[in-house]
Amino acid sequence: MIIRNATPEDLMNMQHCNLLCLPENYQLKYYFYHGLSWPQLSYVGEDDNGKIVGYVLAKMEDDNEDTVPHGHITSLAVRRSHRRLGLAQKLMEQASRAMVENFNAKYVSLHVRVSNRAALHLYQNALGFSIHDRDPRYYADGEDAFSMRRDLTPLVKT
Amino acid sequence: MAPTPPSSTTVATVNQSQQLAPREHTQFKKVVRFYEQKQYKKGLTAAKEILKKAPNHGETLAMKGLILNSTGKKEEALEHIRNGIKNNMQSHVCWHVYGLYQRSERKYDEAIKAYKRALQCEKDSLTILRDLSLLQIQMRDLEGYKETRHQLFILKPGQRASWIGFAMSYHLLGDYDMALSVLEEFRKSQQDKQTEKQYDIEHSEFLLYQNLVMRDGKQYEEALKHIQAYEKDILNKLTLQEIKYDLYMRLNQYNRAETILRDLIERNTENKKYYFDLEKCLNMTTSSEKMKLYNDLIEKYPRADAPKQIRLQFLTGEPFSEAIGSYLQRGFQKGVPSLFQSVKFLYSSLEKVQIIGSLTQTYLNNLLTYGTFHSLSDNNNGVMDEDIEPATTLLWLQYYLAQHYDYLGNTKLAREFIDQAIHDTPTLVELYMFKAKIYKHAGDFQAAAVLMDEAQSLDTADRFVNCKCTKYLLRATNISAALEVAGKFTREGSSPGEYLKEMQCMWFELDSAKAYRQLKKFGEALKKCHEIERHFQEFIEDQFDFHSYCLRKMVLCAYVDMLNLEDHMKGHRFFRQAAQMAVEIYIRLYDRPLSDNDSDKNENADNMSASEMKKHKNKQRRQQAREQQEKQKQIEADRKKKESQRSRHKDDGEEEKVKEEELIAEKLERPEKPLDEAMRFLQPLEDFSQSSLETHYLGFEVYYRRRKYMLMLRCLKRMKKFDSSYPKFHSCLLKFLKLVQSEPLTDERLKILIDDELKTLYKHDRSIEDMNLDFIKEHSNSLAHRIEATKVMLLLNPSNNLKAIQFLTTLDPSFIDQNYKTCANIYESLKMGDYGQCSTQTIENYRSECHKLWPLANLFSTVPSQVQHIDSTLPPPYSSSSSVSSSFSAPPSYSTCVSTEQQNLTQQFNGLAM
Repeated sequence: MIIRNATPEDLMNMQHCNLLCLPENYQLKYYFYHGLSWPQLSYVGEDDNGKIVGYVLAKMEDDNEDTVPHGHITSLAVRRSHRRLGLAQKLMEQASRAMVENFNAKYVSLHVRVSNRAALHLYQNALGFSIHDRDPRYYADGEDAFSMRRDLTPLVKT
Repeated sequence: MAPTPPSSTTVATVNQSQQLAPREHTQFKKVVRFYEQKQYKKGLTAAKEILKKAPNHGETLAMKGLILNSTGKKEEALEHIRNGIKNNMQSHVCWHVYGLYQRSERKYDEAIKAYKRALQCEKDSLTILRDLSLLQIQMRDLEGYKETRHQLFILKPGQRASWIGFAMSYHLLGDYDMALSVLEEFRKSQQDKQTEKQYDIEHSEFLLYQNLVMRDGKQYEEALKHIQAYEKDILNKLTLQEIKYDLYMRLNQYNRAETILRDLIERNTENKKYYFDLEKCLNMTTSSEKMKLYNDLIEKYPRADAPKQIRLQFLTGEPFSEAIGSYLQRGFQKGVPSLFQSVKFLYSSLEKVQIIGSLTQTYLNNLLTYGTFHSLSDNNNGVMDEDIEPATTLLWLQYYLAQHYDYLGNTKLAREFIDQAIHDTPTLVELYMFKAKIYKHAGDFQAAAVLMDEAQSLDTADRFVNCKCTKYLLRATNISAALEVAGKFTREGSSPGEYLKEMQCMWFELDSAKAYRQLKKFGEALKKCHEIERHFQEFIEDQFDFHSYCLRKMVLCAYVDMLNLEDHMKGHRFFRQAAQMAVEIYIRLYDRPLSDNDSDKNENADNMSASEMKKHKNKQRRQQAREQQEKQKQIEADRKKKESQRSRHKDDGEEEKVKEEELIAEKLERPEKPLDEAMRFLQPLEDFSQSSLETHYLGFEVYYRRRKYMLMLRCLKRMKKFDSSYPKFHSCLLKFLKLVQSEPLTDERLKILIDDELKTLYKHDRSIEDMNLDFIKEHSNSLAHRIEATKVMLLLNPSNNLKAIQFLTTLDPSFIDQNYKTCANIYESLKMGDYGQCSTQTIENYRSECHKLWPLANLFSTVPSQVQHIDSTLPPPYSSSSSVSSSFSAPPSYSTCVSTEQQNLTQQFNGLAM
C-alpha cells in the first residue's frame, strides 16, 4: 500500500473507488475541478497492483473573502476490503496538513448523514472532528447532515 | 461554460445594405446582450424586430441563429447563420458565430477554420483570438496555439495570462529555453508587485511551474539553484521536498537527498517510493545492510506498514519466517480483512508460501489446543492468562487460511475453513463474501451470486458489498436481478441503469456487456461498449473548460499533467476492455451475421430436457417482462428529464448538449459493415494500448478479413516484439503464410516487400506443416499453445478436424495451464463449432472429463446449479440462503487428497469447534 498526493492520472480511479463505496457520486468533471483547483489537497491510497483502495477528495472554501480560510472534505472513501488499517485517518492527516501549509486553513469541515453512525463515530473518535451544526435536508433524498469541523490551528507550525 | 459571444458590432462593412439605422443598431447591441445573459426569448424578439426593417442584415441573422442554437433548434440555427454569412461575408461577427456553432457541434476543426476567417476580417479581436487558442489547445494544434498565444501576448502584454499562455505554448512544443526566458521575464516583472502577502499560492504555483519547465528541459543544476533560491515562497512543502531530493539524487548529492527522504518518511510513513529511493541514496546492495536499515525504521515507526512490507520482500529463510510470523499474528489479532491481500505478493516465492503454510498451520494447531500462537513446550513458564488469544484471533486465522488455500487452488480446504468460520461467527459479512469468491473461482457462478447476496443482506447500508453482489449477479448472467440490487443505491425516480450511465459507472457497464455477450445478446453488449466509448469522448470534452480556467487560477503543473493524461486516456483498462470486446463481437458478426430469426435465441435448446426447456422458457419470459419494465421505466425517466430540460430552456436556457445518436441494440448487432465498425475501436487500441498483445491479435484478425497485407505484418511484428512466445503469434503467422501461398499476390512490389518483412519473422527453410510440428514439440506442456496449434492443423487440413479435436481435448495434469479458464474456453469453442463439426459425444466426453476436474463449475455440470436462482422478487436472501446452507454448509467431509498432516490438523480443528 502506498499513500500519496493524488495526480490528475488518479482522478478516474478515484471516481471508480467512489462508485464502489459511497452513495454520493459525481461525474469525472467534478473530480477534475478539484484536481485542477487544489491539486495539493487530495490524497489516495493505492495497493500493490496500483488499485486505488481509498481516497480523500478535498477543497478550500474560498467563496467568502472575510471568513477565515478553511478546507472542506468533499468525499472520503475506503474500500470495505481495506478497513481497519487506519487508512482514512492517514489520508485525512495528509490532506489537513496540506490545507494548512498551502492555504493557511484554520479548520476543515465536512458533512455526514445523520444516520451514518459508523462514519460519525470515525470522524469524532479517530479523526478529531466535532459536530458544528445540523443542515436540514442536505442530501438529495431529504436526509439531514451533520456539519462537522476539526480545528487545524494545532497543526500550524509555531 | 458559455462560449464568449462575439464582441464588436461596429463593422466597417463595404456593403450599404449591411448598415443599420441608429435605432436598429441599438437593438442589435441588445440582442448580443440578451444572448450573453441567456435571455433567449427576449433576444429572438429583438432580432425579429431588426429583421423586419432589415431582412438581409447578416449579423442579425447570424446572432438569431446563435440564439436558436442555444435553444436546441440546430437546423434552423445553421440555416440562419449560413444566411447571415451569405449576406455579409466580410463580417467577423458572422464568421465568429459560425465558429461558435461548429464548436457547439464539437466540430473543432471546422470551428478553427471559421475563427481564422473571422480573424481575417478583424485581425486583432481579443475574443476571437482567445476562443481560437482554446480550440487549438483542445485539438493539440500546438503550432497554431503558439501563434495565437503570441498574438495575444503582443496585444495584451499587461495580462498575466498572456505571459503564462505564451510561455506554455513553447513548453508544450519542447522549446524549453524560450519558455524559460518568457517565464523569467514575467517573474522579474512580478518582483516589484510582490506584496507582503504571506500565503500567495498563485506565486508559489508559478515558481513550481517554472521549475518544472527547467526539469523537463533537463536543466537540473539550474532547477536546483532555482528551488533553493525561492524555497520560502513555495508553499507546497511536500512537492518542494520531493523535487529537491530528486534533484539532489540526479546531481549525486546523496547525503542531502537522504536527509530530505528521512524527513519525508517522517511526514508520510506509507509511501514506499521514499524507502526505495532512500535505499538508492545509501547505495544498499546486500540484504544485511537493508535489514539493518529497515529494522531501525520499523523500530522508529512501529505503526508504519510500508517498511514491514518491504522487509518481507527481501528477507529469506529464518529471518523471513520470524518477520512474517509477527506480521501475521498482529494481523489476526487486529482483525485486518486485507491481510492476505497485503502479503499475496510473497506467494510468487515457493519458499515463502511453504513457510507461511507451515506457520499458519502451527498457529491453528496451537490456537485450537492452547488458545495461543505458541505451544506450551515453547514456553517453560506455561501459558499466562494474558497470552490467551480472544476467539476472534482464530476467526481471522481461519479467514486467512481459506484465502491461502483458495489461492493455491485447493477449493476443498478453502471451503472447509470458510464454512468453519461461518459456523462459528455467522454474522461477519467478509466471510460470506469470501465464500462467494471461492465458488466463483471454482466456476459455480450461480452459487457465488447467491452467497454474495446473502453477504449483502447482512449489511444493506454498505455499497461496497452491494456492488460486489451486483457484479456477481452479472457474472451469473442474471442481469435483471443485478439491476435490481444496484438500484438500492441509485437515485429514486430513474432507472438504475440510467443513473449509473449518468455517473459514468464503467465497471457496471463493462460487466453488463460481458454478461450480454455470454447470453449472445450481441446488440446489448455492443451498446454497453459504445456507452463506455462515449464516456471517454466526454472526458476528452471535459478538458475544454479547464484550458482558460487553469491559466487564470495559475494551476499550471497539474494542468500540464492533465493535458498529458488526456492524450492517452483511452489507454485506461475500462476503455481497453470495452474496445477489445467490441472488436471481437464485430469480427464474430462479420464471420457469422445474425439472421432475422436470431432474435429469439435458444442455442442450448437441444441440450435440454422437456421440463428444463419449460423452466427455461418461463425464465425467459419473466426476464423479458422485466426487461420490458426496465425499458418502460427508462423511457418514462427520459421523458421527464427532457420535459424539465425543455421548461428550463424556455427562457434562461442552458447550453444544449450535443445530441448523440441513440444506441439501438437491434441495429448494432446487424451492422452493414462490421469491419468498419471494428476499426472505430481498433484504432484507439492501436494508439493507446500498444503494449497489450490482444490488441495486435485483434488487429491481425480484422486486417486478415480486409486483406490488408502490410497491416497484418505490422501486427505480427508487434506481437513478436512484445512476446515472441505469445501463442497466438504462431497461428496468426501461419495463417498469413497460408494466405500468401493460396492467394498469390499480383502486385510484384508488394510481394517483395512482404518477403523482406517475413525474413525478420521466421526462418525461411521450414514448411508450414513442419513449423506447426516444431511448435507443438516446443510447447508440449501448454494448453494455450496447443489451442493455436490446433487452429493451424484445421487450417491445413479442414476435412480432418476430428484428429485435431482429439489432440485439443486431451487432458493431462502436466499442462501448466490446465485450469478452469482454459478448459472452459476450449469447451465453449467446441460447442460454437469453432473447430468444425464434431459429434455431440466428443463434446459430451470432454464436458464430463472437465466436470470431474471442476465439479462445482456450472459450465461442466449437467444440472444447472445446486443453488436456486435469485428471483427478482427481492428481498430474497434468506429464502434462498436455506438452499445454500443445505447444499453447501453440510458438515465438511475430508477426502483422501488431504495429506495426513493436514488431516490431523483439520480433525483437531473440527473436533474442538463442533
